[in-house]
Amino acid sequence: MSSQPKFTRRQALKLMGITSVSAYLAACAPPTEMADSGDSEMPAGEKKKISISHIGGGSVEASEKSHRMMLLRSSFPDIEFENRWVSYAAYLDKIPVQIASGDLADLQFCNAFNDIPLMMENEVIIETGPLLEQFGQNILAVTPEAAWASTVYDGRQVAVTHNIYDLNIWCSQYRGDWLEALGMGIPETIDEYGEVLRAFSNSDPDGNGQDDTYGRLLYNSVRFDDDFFHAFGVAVGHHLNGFWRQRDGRLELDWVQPGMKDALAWMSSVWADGGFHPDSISIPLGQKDNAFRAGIAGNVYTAWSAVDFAQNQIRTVAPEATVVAGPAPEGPGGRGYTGEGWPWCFVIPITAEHPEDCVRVIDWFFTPDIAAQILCEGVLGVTNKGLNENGWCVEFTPEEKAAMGDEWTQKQNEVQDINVFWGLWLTIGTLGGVQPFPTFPPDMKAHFEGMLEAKYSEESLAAQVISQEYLRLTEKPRPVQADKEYWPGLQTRFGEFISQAVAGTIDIDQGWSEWLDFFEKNGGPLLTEQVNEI
Amino acid sequence: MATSAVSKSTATSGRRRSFWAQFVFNLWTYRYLYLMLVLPFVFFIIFRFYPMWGNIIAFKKYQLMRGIWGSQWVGFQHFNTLFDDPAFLRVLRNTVSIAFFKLVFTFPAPIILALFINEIRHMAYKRFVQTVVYVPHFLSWVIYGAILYIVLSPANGIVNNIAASLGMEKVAFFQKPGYFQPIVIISSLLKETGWAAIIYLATISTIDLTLYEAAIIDGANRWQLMRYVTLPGLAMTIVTLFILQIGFFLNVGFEQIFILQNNMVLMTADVIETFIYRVGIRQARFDFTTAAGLFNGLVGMVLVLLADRLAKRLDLPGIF
Repeated sequence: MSSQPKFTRRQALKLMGITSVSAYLAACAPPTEMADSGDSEMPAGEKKKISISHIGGGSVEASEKSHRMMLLRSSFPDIEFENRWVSYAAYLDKIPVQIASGDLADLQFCNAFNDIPLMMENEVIIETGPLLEQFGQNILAVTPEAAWASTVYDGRQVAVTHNIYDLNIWCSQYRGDWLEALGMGIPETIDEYGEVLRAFSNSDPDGNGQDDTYGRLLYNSVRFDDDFFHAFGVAVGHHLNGFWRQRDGRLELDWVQPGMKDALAWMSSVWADGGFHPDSISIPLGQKDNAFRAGIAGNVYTAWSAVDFAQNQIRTVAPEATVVAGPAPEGPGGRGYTGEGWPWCFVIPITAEHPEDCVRVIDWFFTPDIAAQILCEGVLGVTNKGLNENGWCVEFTPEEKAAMGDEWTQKQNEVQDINVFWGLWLTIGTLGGVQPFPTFPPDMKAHFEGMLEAKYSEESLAAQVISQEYLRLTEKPRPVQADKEYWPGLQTRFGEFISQAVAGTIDIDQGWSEWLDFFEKNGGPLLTEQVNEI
Repeated sequence: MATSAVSKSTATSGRRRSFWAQFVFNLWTYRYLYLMLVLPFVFFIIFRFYPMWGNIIAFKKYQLMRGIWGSQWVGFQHFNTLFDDPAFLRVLRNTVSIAFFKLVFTFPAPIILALFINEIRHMAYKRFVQTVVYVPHFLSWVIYGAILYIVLSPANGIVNNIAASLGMEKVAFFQKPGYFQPIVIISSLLKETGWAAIIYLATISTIDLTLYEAAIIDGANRWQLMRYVTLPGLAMTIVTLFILQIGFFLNVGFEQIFILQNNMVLMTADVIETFIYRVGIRQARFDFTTAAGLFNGLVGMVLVLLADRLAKRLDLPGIF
């Protein structure tokens, strides 16, 4: 028989009771007091805690192991960083819930136009203007005026802008070999452009004798296809963010201008002739470029820096394929490509215990000596060359990567999950946007400019020049109060209308009248009024 | 132990106890059974009943920093906005339409399938059929939706390729509003009918075999066995499940609808659940969409009560 004391039912019940009461008391404990935002004194030996929420990259593990994160941690030994990485897809769902629950990171990544109105209405973020003056000199030195405008709400500067998107990243790209096979040149006008799309779809440009090619990929809900719209003097704006222009001294939304109806009618006629890939208007946005890269579509409107990647992908099925960029097609309303602008930023919630350190951390990323170490793609010393004698990072050129052959593949496999840390910083040339800072000393700037030149093909760099030439930006500088209540509804309704109009599932005249009526009755006039009061 | 408790209870049943005395007596006698009930009970209190207080934000202009109680009372303003909103009326119409057709087609389908599977005499084949019809249930709607997109693609989907080879026009199924609801119903049938048949098959296995023997002696054929023995044996399960399903009448399946819908078909694809997600979660209008959710729940409750009453009128067992 066991000599151990018996654990009786009564003892078990007591234990359960004590556990339940303890759990209840813990659950009822008052929340931690909000700290005085100006005071960040810590007891000796205790680290300050700062949480950072950021998007992009592969995983929290990847960003945790990245050189950039390690450098950040070692540069701030007095701070314990909590890494709150989220994927972009998860961010879209999480951020409103975070705002509503107040569970924001100390440095919270967000979209200025979509999220700041919600945050301000719920009074969850602090003003950042004074902190930037004190702790953000490097940020202030490199950030253009336009970027700051997006972070002002209700007269207060409430966010630290971010360099994740530059202004000039998109352009129209064609299968050069298809154009040549069809005896066509790169189109200049919207009419020529329509003919090219029709020919790509209907004239067997790959010469295989089958009807298996398409002209152009649309983006789910026609959300990004502004190269067409600009030809008619209007634009949708990336992400259905809207595009505002001065008309007779007033800012007006392009979505309700007559040119919009003309643009939709033109697109609908190309759709009817089979010029667009029929799946592209309804498939998930993430698959948008696949048909172009798979070699079955002849045209796509995307980032200039994607030219080389797309060409390499297409050459796996069509070895002679070439990808070339073209100018924005000109129409009765002009021509243009829409730039993303500066919607992304970091905000600091009222719950942040060390707001001044939060600004210091962001400022650190903008310091030339630090930026020079972390701008490069790849893991330091593994998938890039590491730091040179000046302490500036160096990437492998495409030729060097090709010469390495299997070794390069092996290197990539070794570190495939630890080579990205987007969100806090984009690597140089990623999305074709991030350029050396104007605050870089001349020799440092020359180093990175040289690296960019070696990184991209001549076609890519030509595409960059083209995208810059035709860049157009919305003239609405910042969010307004009516955005919160009315803009999402208008976005949904407009997205629905334009996709149906292009695909011909509704009568454009009737749909246009209904859309204008919806705009009038659902906050459109108030929104316009407030945008003009900025 | 259970036997002694019952006998004790029987022995004392001659004396009349007060309600509370009997309650305490039962509580003590069956204390271990009640103890097992504690966790589920706590679960329901915390996760089902306590959150009901949050429904009050349907009548308030909810602001985080002011909290539920501190937020401004606005009465039925959100309900008025909801029913004035043309988007919501469209959403309501779509929801009722999909819910109705789902009930009409997907509720009887597993009963019919179970009846037919029950008639299969070759055991290996029966197991094979059961496995084949269960499998789609284990695919997530994400995977299933992707398969549907590929199969129905106007560019190179197998359905359109067959149609084209027969000289028919290709159809962009996911771009025509008229096709959306049939796709939802048919895909539900294909994916879930097998799984839903399990409960009926389990019930069929409990039907007394002597009833079949007696019917066979009386000359019943297989069709009559199914009609007059098996189906009546399922009646109680059918009614119970029907009433429970009626309670979720307006919950038409967020995951399925959300994955299959796109802007092209929103006019027939937007339902209350996707509306709540889009407006409530993505636009953080929690108060407004709580009003929509409350309306949804209220309709479900009324329908359950009506179905229960109807079942009792027809001399079928209800759930209350």
